[in-house]
Amino acid sequence: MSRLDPTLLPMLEAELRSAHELTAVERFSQHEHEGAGRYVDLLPATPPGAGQQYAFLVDLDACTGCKACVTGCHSLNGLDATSGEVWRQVGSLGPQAVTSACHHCADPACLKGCPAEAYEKDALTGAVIHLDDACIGCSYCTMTCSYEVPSFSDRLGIVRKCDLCNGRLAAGEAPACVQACPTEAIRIQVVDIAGAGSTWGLAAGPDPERSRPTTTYVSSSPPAVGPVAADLRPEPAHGHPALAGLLVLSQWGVGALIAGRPVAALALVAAASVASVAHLGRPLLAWRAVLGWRHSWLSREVLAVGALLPLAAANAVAGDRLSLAIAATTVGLVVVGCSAAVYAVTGRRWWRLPRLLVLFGSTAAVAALAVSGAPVAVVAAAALAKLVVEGTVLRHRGEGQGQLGRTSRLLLGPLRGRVLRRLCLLAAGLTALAVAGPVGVVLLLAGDLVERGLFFRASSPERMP
Amino acid sequence: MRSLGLGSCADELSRTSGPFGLGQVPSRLQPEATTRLVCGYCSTGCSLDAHLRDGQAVNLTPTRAYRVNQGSACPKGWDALTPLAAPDRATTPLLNGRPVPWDEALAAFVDGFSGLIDAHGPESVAFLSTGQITSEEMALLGAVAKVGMGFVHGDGNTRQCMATSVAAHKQSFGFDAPPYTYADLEASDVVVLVGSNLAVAHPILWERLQRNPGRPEIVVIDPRRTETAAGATRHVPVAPKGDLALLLGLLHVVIRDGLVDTGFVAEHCRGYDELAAVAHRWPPVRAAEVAGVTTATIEDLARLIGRGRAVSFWWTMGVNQSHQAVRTAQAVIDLALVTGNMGRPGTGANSITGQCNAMGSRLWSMTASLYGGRSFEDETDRAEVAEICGWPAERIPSRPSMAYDQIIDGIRSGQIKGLWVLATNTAHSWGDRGELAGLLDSLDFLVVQDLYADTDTARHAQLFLPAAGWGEKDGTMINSERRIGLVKQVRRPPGAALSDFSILRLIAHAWGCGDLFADWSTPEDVFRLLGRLSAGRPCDHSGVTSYRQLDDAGGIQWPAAAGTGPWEAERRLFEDGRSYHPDGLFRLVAAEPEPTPRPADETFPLVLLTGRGSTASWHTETRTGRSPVLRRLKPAELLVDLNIDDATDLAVADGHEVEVASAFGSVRCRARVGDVVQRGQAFLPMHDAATNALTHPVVDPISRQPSYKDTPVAVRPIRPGRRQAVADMATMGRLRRTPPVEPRKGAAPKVKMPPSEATSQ
Repeated sequence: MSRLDPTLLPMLEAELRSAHELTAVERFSQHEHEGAGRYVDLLPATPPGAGQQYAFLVDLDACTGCKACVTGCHSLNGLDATSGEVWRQVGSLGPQAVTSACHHCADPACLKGCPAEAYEKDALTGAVIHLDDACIGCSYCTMTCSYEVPSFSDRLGIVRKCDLCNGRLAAGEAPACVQACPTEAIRIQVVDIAGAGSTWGLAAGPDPERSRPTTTYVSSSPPAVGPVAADLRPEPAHGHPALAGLLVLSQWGVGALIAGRPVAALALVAAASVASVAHLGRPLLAWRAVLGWRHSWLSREVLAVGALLPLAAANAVAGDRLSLAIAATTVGLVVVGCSAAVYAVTGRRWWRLPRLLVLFGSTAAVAALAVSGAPVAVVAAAALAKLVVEGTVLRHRGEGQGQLGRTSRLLLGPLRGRVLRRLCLLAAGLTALAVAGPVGVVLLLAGDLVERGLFFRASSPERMP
Repeated sequence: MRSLGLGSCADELSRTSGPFGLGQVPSRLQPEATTRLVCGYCSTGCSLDAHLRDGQAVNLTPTRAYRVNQGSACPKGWDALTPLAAPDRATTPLLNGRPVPWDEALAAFVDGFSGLIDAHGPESVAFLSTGQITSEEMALLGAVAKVGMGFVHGDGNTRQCMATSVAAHKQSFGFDAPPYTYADLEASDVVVLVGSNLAVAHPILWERLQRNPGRPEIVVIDPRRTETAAGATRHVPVAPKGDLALLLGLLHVVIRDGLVDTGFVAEHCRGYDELAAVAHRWPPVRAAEVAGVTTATIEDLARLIGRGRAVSFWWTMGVNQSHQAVRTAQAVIDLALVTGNMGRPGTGANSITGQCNAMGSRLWSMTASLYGGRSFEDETDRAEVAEICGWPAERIPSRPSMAYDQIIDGIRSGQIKGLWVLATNTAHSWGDRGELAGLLDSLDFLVVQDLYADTDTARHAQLFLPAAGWGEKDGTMINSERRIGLVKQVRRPPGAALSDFSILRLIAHAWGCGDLFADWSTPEDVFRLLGRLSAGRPCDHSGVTSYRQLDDAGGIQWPAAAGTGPWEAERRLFEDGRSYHPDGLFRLVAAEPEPTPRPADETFPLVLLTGRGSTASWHTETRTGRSPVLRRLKPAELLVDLNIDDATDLAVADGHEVEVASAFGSVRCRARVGDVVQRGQAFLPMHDAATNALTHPVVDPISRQPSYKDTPVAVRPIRPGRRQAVADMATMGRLRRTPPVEPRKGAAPKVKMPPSEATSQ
């Protein structure tokens, strides 16, 4: 190795030292920023009056799809950098870029579904605000919102979403996305809440009648409907294993009650209760889950499970006394009904109420037959009937667009392996039932858990472009 | 960490009013001070306000009071701090992958290159520079390598983007001088974009164009229906590499119909008769056939240009990357000159640069030319530079450097044995990268200097030197409109990473040539020296003598000669109608179009176009790929655009997996079927490493800039199987035949935006 000049080391130390000195502030002038003045003409002149609220107005002609609104919102609102959290999305309908954030609905489905009263609609501005500290992290709003706006943060265990920069509007400043848009394609207007949903302006995306979004899209040539990105490459959704556990275990618990197996029923209902709490991002706040009972089917489901657990316990202790068994079974059926309603209100086509009632009910029925030791042929007949309910969606596999086409293509495509696993467990369960009953029961239960995971993974809501 | 339910999450998102009129900002990122610096991605040269806490930048917002961007930034600028904080930043030198201290790394550097120079002569080593570092660093790099260490060969990645414009400008204008200022976008009544996807490549310039109050005609000449073409008033879907024929057809009609500004041509141009003779041979019917457009398109467009009051022409890589690139760029210049569209507001033949400091590289990198647009071969030029810098004149090489492609050829032939690569990712960005990876491994010594040790190129390095990035050092950059802007250190580089400036000073010292650079202590010292080197030349900025002056003025365009200020915020060149040629005349240069040397054939029937794919991706994504939020803003996987008719022939539906193969390699990706590309074409974004496995550098003979935009390829379906493919094709066909549905009940009427004060009541 060559000999280095001995003066190199001091020079190296000096360079390393100066690399860590930050002196821009001392050396350079400070500039007053021009304030929010530039954006004032993108805000309404007067605040909303009675029966009115603020809303986004998007000029599709002006939007070039540069996505500065997404990063501007991210930076000006200090969103999570590690996960790349975003409150705005830019999709496309053919060549037309479509920017969207929370639509601050007149009839917000996130708020209605929230079991923990973690949402409020600001009385003055109409902004739909998520109260981060009230959130229990159940993720239910990620399913009830048609626009997939609330997003769950693994780091925090709660969801977060766009707040219309409510504080900025209160201070007369433009929301971050409005400030960030180089072509002034996003602005704020005042709308009549009564008319919300009728000024949507996009032929694509979820039905605006459902929650009545207040955003208005305007364009000189409204983009045609076509397949959205999700149609071309559908991607599996989250599997929510704890929720799958809650559903299957509670329904099997009801089955065990019907079958007159009080101890098994108690164990299953207790496990379901544990799963329901384990599912939460902030389990210590689980008690909040009942606060929304007046409007949230999830709260009602929680209350019903809460009532079922002591009844099942009492029934187990009392050794299946008839009055207790009837009471527990009745409450159990209420749980099954609530569970079906929880998912039916999301408006997803694969989760229509009649189908869910049949699916969840047949889960309890198969369980009842299996744990009661009914003849294998009877169990098999019931399980196969349930399988038909699970699989009917596949008749939509040829549809290039739409929810059910995506669901069936997910089941036949990326989720093929899980479907196969579900079928194997069913076959193995029925076989085992004949030779070693308890093993068969466990395998059938496991099969239903896989089925319920697919219930979440393959579900594809109506998507924004 | 999840709190499980204890503690507050809400504080994290609280916003409070920031100082200095910033408006509300996140409370936890509340700045104590702000300072502005120009962005380090593209050549637009936007200014960003760094929000500082303890002197360290914690957030960025676009500067409102800066002429260039006026409060806007693209996604890359907004999130420019994130890549600096990436967990895999290089923090220490690596020798054969092993962390070593700087003194050992410097010794290895000196041993490696001095050993090769001693054994094989100075022409056995070369460096590859960049348009991404500051002018001061470029100047020091060229000086240390060529004057200090005796290198002869060094080129930059600017060869891949701007070499064509440089050559065209020198011949037509007499100096490499883009004549415009961005305000010209706002003052034209006709804007002609040739091979430029402005809305994606330069979003803020597209914004400036949108602000043109005169609702100009926007003409986009591009094979692809780009985002820019979709937003234009006219799209001319020229055949790939049919642009020179198209331009000659336009010139033909302009001349034939008497739309020439004869006064301007007579007074200010030379070579008109030769140009007219060439154009005469390209009547619209002939031009239209080669260009793949209708004669009516050419006739109409020529009249639009000929009759426009202020017509500006803007070109980028569609022109610059071609087998006949310089002549095509000059045909654009010719069209502007003969119609008198030069030197007036809203006019010009305007090459938009790519990288943030490609313009600095063109003046100061000591690669293709000597400082300030001088020539290595010219003895007077060498003497001038030697005197100003205080160097012995004989230390400046009198031979020109090999160009990028020649350096690669040199590695292949064994002539080049040592290579030093700075702030560029050649193993990703050079064509036929499959071969290049092997060539890099065949080198005796490869040094890579970058922010990250695992770029495609750095993975091949024997010696890796960790560099500070944009925002971690001081210096200047020059944007497309010749505006010198300031970058400042607002972050600490991680670990032992050092600015390229510091690394170069240490290398000079270790090599034993530090005395030559005794006056080069700080970037600002070098900036003043560059001012002296520019004095008396078209790029004269000797009137700017401090960083503070630049900062106060919000950037200053050259020329800014000593004793001439103060200068207006936006200035264009050639307002007096005089070029930089000694006679003051512009040169009209014309050439016959030649067919592409590698046309599509039966084996490779489609022409692969490449270009930028997203406003959130920068070049090889060394930086933008490390931003989680920017990664979300582009497709999650590589998509190839195919025309629906070709896709139908291939039985490929939207979303299907396909293989794209050229004579040089093949890649797997998914098809995106539509009418963005024309029949016979395919498009891949350049940001994906797979793309340049297919391309192969055919270079322009004058600029030696490679063409990336016309590689013959074949596309073959992979998945799904034939049966599913047929079903999907049927679905796709149905979708295509379905006419646009009526907007849903209550959908927006066909109106323009209501005035801002309007509400829905």
